[in-house]
Amino acid sequence: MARLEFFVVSESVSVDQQTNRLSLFNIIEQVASTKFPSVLPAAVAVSMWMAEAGDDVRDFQCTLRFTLPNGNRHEFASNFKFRARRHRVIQRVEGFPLNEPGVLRFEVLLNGEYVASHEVDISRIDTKDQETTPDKKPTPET
Amino acid sequence: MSLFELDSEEIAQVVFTVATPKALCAILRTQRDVKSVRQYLWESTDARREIEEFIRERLIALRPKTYFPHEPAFCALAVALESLPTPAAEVFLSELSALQIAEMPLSSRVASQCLQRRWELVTSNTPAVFKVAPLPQPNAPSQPPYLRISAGVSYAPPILKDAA
Repeated sequence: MARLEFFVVSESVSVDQQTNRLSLFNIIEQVASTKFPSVLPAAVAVSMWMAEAGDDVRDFQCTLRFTLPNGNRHEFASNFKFRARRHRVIQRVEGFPLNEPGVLRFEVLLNGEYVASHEVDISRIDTKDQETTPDKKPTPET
Repeated sequence: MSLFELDSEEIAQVVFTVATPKALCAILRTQRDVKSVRQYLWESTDARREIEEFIRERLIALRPKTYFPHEPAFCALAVALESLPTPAAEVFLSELSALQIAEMPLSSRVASQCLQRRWELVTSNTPAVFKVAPLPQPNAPSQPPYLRISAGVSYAPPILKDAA
């Protein structure tokens, strides 16, 4: 059975067309919003799978499951077959409805079995912070 | 079925008649014996040991200033291993590609080709895009909430720095 190398959720990813190298940008750990309900525009879940003996003839289903702070669950499945030693599943999800502060939990399942998770804290920004934010640049001390 | 298939006359003929490593790799990839050895190693529970034994048994025939008689088999093995997901394959290809001896003039160049192809083949991708909720329109009447996405537990927003 394929083995998970890593699972992580970031804001965006890039795969170099020439070298096939993967870059992850801004791994998401916390999301703060001034008001709820809000929408997280996008997140990309990347899971890297390593083939083991006999995996080349198998079909796999990688499911991304996420649980919103209000308990609602969504699942998205991607099917793949190993054509090489490693296989990346890059699942971009757009428009996360954030109804309240709490924990946004991402889980990855392989053929229906839970393998790993990534949690994101959803918090509220105190709007007083925004009001006291100075518009002008701080003057250098003399 | 074993790695001895790589010692076949057919493979030897191909290696002796094709001059360039790139063309040789392309032809060897289509050889039935190479394909079946690759499949056999993929399914093997101890591919590393079988590869090492096959190499060791043939290296005994390596003599100074004499053409290495098992070079065709080494070329075929390099091609068979190029997509095999084992560290032993990586080690064999790396060591063979670094070898520069007159007794084995072709196999190191074949191994270099295989290693390059391996780096291209070694990771494949399955991208997918899903939508959960409609994104807010840019001309929506109400002002969208300010959203701050952060990474790292030691993240310190500029607001806190100014307050301090």
